[in-house]
Amino acid sequence: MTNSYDNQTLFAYLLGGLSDSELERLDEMTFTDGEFAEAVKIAEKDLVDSYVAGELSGPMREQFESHYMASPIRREKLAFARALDKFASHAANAPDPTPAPLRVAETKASSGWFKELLESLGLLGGGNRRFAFAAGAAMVVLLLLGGWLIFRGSAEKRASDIATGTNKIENPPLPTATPLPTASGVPITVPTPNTKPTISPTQEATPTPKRTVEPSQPTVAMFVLPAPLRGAGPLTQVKLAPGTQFAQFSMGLESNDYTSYRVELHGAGGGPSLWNSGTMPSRGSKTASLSAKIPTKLLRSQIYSFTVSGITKDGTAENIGDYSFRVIK
Amino acid sequence: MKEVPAKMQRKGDWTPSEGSFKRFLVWLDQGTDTEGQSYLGMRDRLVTYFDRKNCSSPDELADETLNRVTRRLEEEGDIDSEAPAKYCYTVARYVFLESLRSGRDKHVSIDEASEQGKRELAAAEVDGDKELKEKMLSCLDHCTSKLDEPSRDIIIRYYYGKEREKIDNRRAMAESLGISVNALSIRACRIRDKLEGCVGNCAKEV
Repeated sequence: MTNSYDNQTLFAYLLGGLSDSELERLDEMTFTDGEFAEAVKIAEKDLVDSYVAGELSGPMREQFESHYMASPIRREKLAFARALDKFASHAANAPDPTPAPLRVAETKASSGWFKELLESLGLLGGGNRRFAFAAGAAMVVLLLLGGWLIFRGSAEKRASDIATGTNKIENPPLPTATPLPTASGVPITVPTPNTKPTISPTQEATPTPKRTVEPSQPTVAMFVLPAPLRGAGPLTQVKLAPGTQFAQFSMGLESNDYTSYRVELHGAGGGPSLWNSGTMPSRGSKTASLSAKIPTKLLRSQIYSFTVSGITKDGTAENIGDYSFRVIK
Repeated sequence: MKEVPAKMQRKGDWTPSEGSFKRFLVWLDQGTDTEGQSYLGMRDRLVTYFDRKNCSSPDELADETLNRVTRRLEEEGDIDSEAPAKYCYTVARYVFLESLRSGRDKHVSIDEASEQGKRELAAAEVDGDKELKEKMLSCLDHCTSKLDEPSRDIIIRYYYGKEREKIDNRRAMAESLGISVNALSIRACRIRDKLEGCVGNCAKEV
């Protein structure tokens, strides 16, 4: 029975394009014929999806807007279809079930080992070139700093050992480190300057060296949020590993035209500010990025948005953009 | 207090007792205990029917229809002249015509309603409804996470892509699941209905 109705008839039924007698017959069938009722439901979803996708044109589009959209219930269906379309695009564009927190664009500036480094850290793939370069450069600086600290720590230790005559330590002390999740969410360890190991003087007397290490530092995960796109770009996924205490976000600005900035964190539906940066003075460079360090206890698995405002000289706040991201815990 | 017999009450005054409601459910189920699903399905069809007629209160008219059928059952003991679905439709049609005549339900003219619809659409498109959109996205996120994995996979892949890409994608999906494209669309439609219901409730709560 259902098969005798093609989509054109069903669309005409939904758009008020049938005669009264035909309309009544089909109305009755939506009650008495389960298959037909299902076919109408599917046709209705197809129709709404086609409208959302901009695939309806001419009289059909006009009928949709004049007839179908006449009801609040049907307008809700339209709103849902729009949201589903956007959601499916975002979800399907996510590279894997544990998507990268960093989405930074490929950069021509990167080449050779530098590019390989970015690729190995998952920093290439989409977004803003400036971020790719900056993030890559930051990594290199951190690694060089780490290397230097290891070297310095080791040299100091050797000097100390020589001075105290304890240069027979079998295991050289290792600096403690702050885990820094990579794009794939796997922490890498980067030495931090203030975690230089100190050797207790008592170790002289003990056969096994005892190292006193400063209390562990708060665990910070760093993420770069791409500049807001005009179209529907992929939503940045921010995966927070258990134990991460702070999430530090870096947001790039197109230009640096304001004397200061303010960043506010909101839930997906807007609502009250969950966190705000206060006034952050501009650093004066031509381009800039803003940073926000958020305690992860404020974040749940849902969509959030940073609202960035630029403060003009006369103190007026102007909205610059919203940086949305989805937290996965 | 003595209960007034159903026949002596005016239509609008009558409300079903627990007993009459149970009898109505049994009649609607026609021998199979659907645990209320038949009732929910019928109410849904009625709301959709009145909505397609551009009635401004489709929910009220659906309840009015169900009340009348329940009352008739109470009075007659059984209705065997027609199958339940057909009978409900017949009553719904009367309720609709009656509401037109009495002007009880304010029917929105297509012109008036579509103008309102266009205004709302325009408002949504200029970001006036940004909050609602974000709320819906957040709810979709929440509701899809409650789906089982195969359903979640279907709903995301089924609605992904544009035009040709979407069609090819669905064909490939159906093949990989070993079902026809038609069966896949029915499956996706049911998941979407479930999701839409969940998002509707979630959006009201948030």
